[in-house]
Amino acid sequence: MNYPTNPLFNSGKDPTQIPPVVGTTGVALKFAGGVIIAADRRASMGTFIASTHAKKVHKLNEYTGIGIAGLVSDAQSLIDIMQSELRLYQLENNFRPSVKVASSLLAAIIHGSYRRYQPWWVQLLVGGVDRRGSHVYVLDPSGSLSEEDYMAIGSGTLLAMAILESNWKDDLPKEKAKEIAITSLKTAIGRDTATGNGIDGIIITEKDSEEFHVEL
Amino acid sequence: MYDSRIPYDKSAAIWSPDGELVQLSYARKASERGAAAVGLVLDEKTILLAGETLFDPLVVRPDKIQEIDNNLYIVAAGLSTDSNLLIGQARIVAQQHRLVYGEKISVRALAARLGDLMARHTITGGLRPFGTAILLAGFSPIDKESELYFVDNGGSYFAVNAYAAGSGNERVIDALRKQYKPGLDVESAKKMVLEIMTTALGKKDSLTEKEVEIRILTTD
Repeated sequence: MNYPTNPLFNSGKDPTQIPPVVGTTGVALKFAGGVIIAADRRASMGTFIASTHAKKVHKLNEYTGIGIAGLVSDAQSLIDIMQSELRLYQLENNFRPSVKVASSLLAAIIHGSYRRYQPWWVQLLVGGVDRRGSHVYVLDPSGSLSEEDYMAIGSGTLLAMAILESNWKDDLPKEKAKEIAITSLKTAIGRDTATGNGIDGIIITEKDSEEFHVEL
Repeated sequence: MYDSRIPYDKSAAIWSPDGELVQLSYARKASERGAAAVGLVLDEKTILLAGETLFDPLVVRPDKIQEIDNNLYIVAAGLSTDSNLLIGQARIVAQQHRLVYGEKISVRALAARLGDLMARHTITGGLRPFGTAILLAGFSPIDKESELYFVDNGGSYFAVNAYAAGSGNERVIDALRKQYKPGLDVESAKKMVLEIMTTALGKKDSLTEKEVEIRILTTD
């Protein structure tokens, strides 16, 4: 069957069959009192490294962060939309939107586009700390949303996930959680060609947030 | 000869020379003809809503206090058809919020949305203002604290500790201003509201929960 659709869909194939989003490894995990989001810095165009310092971890507001994988323009555009939407939500409601509100809105936007055959070509990790505690949500181009304790996205998902899976525990201390995040990304950088050039991350806690960087 | 001046009480969207929207004053009168509605914040976790239901043995007692979403209620005073439109709209807005944001709408945001709708009816030609004023009660989705909002016929909305709409509203509000204090227990609050309504509405016999629908909203 042929669908009049986004060129990113392989023509002749069922457009609802989404191929994996390429490039990047991103991880997010909860720890005692906060969340960590981290990702590598490589942006790839096939075998060419388009950027060695791509920024893949951003903040949506003071206490909500996002890790991106996939089409950079789509992700940047979604981040811009979400920063405005969350600001508007806060003004209209007079309280800070929860991490669930941010992720649900993202999922609604992404799923709406998916149903119109114009998907946002992104995998996202949304993490943050609100009055209900710390949260990690993962989203894909179909607009699915699920809450996780830890999760990885991008081409290095399996490599990073193996490290997270065998090391993550409830209520990890911050330094230990940061170490696990870095180890999982270093594993992906070592064995995935679309991942590399260092690590950027943010640590969000109840009080504040801080960035960290790892040069290789 | 044709008189090009338009009488300034013919449309809600025309000012009088005194700077008044005369149709809006008429709309407020319409809501004051409606059965009385009262709301009180008893404490951070408890709200009392009361609505007079007009008694007719032939008519099954209608629900004066209407559920909008889980633990989110509206009591409206005025033209019942206008109230029904607003209540229907409130329920749709509440569910839209759940669909998009994944959690319940706040009382403030719902009051703002209904207020906007009602205000639009005072600035758009061909429409008339709502003959209804409403009290919205519920709990903020994050802090789970009592929130009570009043929305006037013209769409202005504000948070209140205790307020009234409908028949005898000025006298009820005056009485509440003197008698309301935060931290009332449920039984004495019920008694106080029934007494205030009896006096304000000029009833010969004391009103009871037979004539006044009372609902206590609580959260944990």
